[in-house]
Amino acid sequence: MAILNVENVSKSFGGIQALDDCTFTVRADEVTCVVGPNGAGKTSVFNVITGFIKPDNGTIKFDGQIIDGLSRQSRVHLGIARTFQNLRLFEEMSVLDNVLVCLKGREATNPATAIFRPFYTSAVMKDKRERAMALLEEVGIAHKANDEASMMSYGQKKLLSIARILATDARLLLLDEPTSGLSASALDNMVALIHRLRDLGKTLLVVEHNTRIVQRIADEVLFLHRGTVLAQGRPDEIINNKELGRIYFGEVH
Amino acid sequence: MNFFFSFLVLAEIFAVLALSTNLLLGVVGIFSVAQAAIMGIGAYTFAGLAIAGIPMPIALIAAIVLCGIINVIASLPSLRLAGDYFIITSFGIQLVATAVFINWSDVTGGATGLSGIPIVEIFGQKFVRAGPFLILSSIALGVVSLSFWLLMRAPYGRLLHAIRQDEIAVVAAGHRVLLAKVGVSAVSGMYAGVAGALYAAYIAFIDPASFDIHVSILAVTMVVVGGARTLAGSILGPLLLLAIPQLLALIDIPSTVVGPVRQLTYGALLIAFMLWRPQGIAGKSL
Ligand SMILES: Nc1ncnc2c1ncn2[C@@H]1O[C@H](COP(=O)(O)OP(=O)(O)OP(=O)(O)O)[C@@H](O)[C@H]1O
Ligand SMILES: [Mg+2]
Repeated sequence: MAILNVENVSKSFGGIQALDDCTFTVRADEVTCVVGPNGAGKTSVFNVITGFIKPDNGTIKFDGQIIDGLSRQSRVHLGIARTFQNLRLFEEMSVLDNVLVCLKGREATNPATAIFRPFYTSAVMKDKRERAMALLEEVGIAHKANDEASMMSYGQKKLLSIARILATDARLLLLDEPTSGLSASALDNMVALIHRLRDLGKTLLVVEHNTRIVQRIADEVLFLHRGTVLAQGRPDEIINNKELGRIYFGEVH
Repeated sequence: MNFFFSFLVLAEIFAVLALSTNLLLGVVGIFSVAQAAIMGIGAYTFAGLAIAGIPMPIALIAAIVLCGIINVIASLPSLRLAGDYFIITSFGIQLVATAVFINWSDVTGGATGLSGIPIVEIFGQKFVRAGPFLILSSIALGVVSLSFWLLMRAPYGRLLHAIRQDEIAVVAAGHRVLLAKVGVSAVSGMYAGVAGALYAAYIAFIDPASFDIHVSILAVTMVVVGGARTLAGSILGPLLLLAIPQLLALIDIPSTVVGPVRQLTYGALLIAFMLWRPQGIAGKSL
């Protein structure tokens, strides 16, 4: 069952065609990896799905519903959440508060409630703390809950960025290069987390450069090149395709 | 003793203004140098209504509500302008407000100011001297401080801190930045309204110079020196900075140079703190 349909989406920035008649589907409950050389348009795909850029043409459907006119916030509430390639953590806040801010639910996020309903606000805060803590445990950084986010290692920051989008309770998670720059052990951690999220019933769209990792996590692979999906298929079909390999490595190196 | 009480009353009034500035500048990162203008609107509203014979509680509420609304409007450009550009915008707002205070003389009394503001009287007790007035200003500062603390400990406070650090990430979490900023601007404006009404009631005379750009900059200096983002910082800052002119008065310097020396000291403090202790005395770095 397709949960996401991207149909004929194009986007140009001045002279640069970031997305060019891009079409693909993402099946529910699977991990779909997006591969392609630098500048292929991988992050741009995430930006059009989440509403951070408006496409020039084309349509995007989530769960059968056209979402083109929806705000970025509405898309999160519908169940689409993303990480950023540069993480965008709230560096001066505690690890716990980073997650707490992103939790689903608008309770006590206005001044009137905070000031005039102090006991209700305390109860909300307690509940949110517990939910945030559970998510930190899920990704394995609960022991860092009270540290400032800026104090964490790069690998832990990446785990935190994932805890934050889990907080939105979204069904479709878009991870932009979750494994890049990780040490070998942090990398195994991340792969295990992606497997767990899949088992929890999340659908994942993951930008991933390393073909060995693609083979470990992907059910499906999209090959993106100059803003177009050149191929979509099972991991070994795509990875063993000599023509795609030539494009990929030809442009990377 | 009266001298000391008077100092405390002014420090408390400025602590309320500093909390108004702190919410915008320290917490959400909206760098406004127009908070004295908002305070002035509160002061003129309260004074004008009180002189017209409107009961003081109603005059106070009117000043608070009006300042809340005007501060939201004044802060709206910050939704579209990055931090540095908004300083210039708020500077413009401050200049416009001062021009209105000077030129709308039918209402404001023009450059000569408004005098004859009635004395606060509650249950027959007149709050004319600093001692009794200190009770009123302490209650006001207490209420404002309590609300500041309640805001900061709530999920809303966390949201405001997050907005300062990365608006894009806040949007990606499904929050509406606009709504949160409108709320905080309203609260900040209401604080400034309280400060203005208290000032008018205490001094019983207001003029445009009481709410000009120097006062806005003084409020920013108080937040920076006292410490941004914290309640303690916004109380320590005014105490310290208002003590400076008192100390200068103890040294025997000619009265003509007291003003410039005070400005010089404030400026030097601002530079020194930004260079060596950006988090202020009791705050977190800007
Ligand atoms: N907001 C923007 N303004 C201008 N050009 C942009 C913008 N976003 C993307 N581009 C351009 O569009 C093209 C695709 O960029 P995109 O970030 O989607 O690539 P990517 O596949 O994610 O690359 P990388 O592997 O380096 O992350 C690039 O040439 C990029 O410079
Ligand atoms: Mg990218």
